[in-house]
Amino acid sequence: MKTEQITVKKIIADEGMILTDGKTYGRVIFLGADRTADEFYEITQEEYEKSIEESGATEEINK
Amino acid sequence: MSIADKLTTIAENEKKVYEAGQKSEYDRFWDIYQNYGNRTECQGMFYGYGWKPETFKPKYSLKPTLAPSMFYMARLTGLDLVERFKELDLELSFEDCSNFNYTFSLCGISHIGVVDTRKASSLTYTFDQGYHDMVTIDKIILKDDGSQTFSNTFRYNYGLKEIRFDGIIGNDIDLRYSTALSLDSILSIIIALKPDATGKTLCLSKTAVNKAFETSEGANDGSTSQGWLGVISSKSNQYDGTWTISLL
Repeated sequence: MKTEQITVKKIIADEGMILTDGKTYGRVIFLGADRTADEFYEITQEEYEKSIEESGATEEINK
Repeated sequence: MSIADKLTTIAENEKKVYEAGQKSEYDRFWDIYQNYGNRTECQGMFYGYGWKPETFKPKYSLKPTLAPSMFYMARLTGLDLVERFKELDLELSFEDCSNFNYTFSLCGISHIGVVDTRKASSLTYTFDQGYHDMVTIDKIILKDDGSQTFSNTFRYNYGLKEIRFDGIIGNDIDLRYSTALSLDSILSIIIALKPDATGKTLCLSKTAVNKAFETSEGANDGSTSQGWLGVISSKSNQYDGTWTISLL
């Protein structure tokens, strides 16, 4: 019989902020084994929305 | 036959003649458009505003080998594609299809059946911009090697509730917009994540996870629950769980 301890590491953005590493975005991020919290920084909601706009979305058609 | 009798017969037959004419035109169009059932290159086949639920009535089963933009920008708002093919007693099969770029992008379809993607290397914008129309994708069958990529595959699918995966997800995948994703859907996604994938990210809606895993009705606390942590811990942990899972 063997036992293992599994640690789930999560980082949480401050209220109104979003975490990113430049590619991934999240309000809560559960880090994989090969990632560290240092790779992520916080941006504002407005900065996040701007980055989405710049990705070139098509406007929703009014239905 | 008297003239009166002939006129009566003509009147009685008018509807039959009209319907026969309509059927003839329907046959003529779809025989050519689907090449008598032999058409397999379906790129842009139902592209654009002219395709609406009332006009989407193929005559033959469809088994695309190529399906880029197959339903792109169609006005099939609210169409249950599974039900429509059942009504027509036809099949829609993607098992031979190698290109799914924009296949169901911005099409309005509410229910998509089984999409076998095993002949394709990527799902680029495949279900993009489903907005509040696309609710159910019965099953996406993926390859077993986790090699397929997902680029903007599920972007802006705010209404998506049910989705299932067979096969392996081995690259970044993003369902951040699907705030109503069900518990079974989220479980299906997590189960499909390739165990030893490195540097990969799954992005989900925090709202969806909070609801799906909530500890009691209305608590909306799922993302902090033991149930959620238990589900993801085999794929995302500091020991050998290499997936990064972000909730947005």
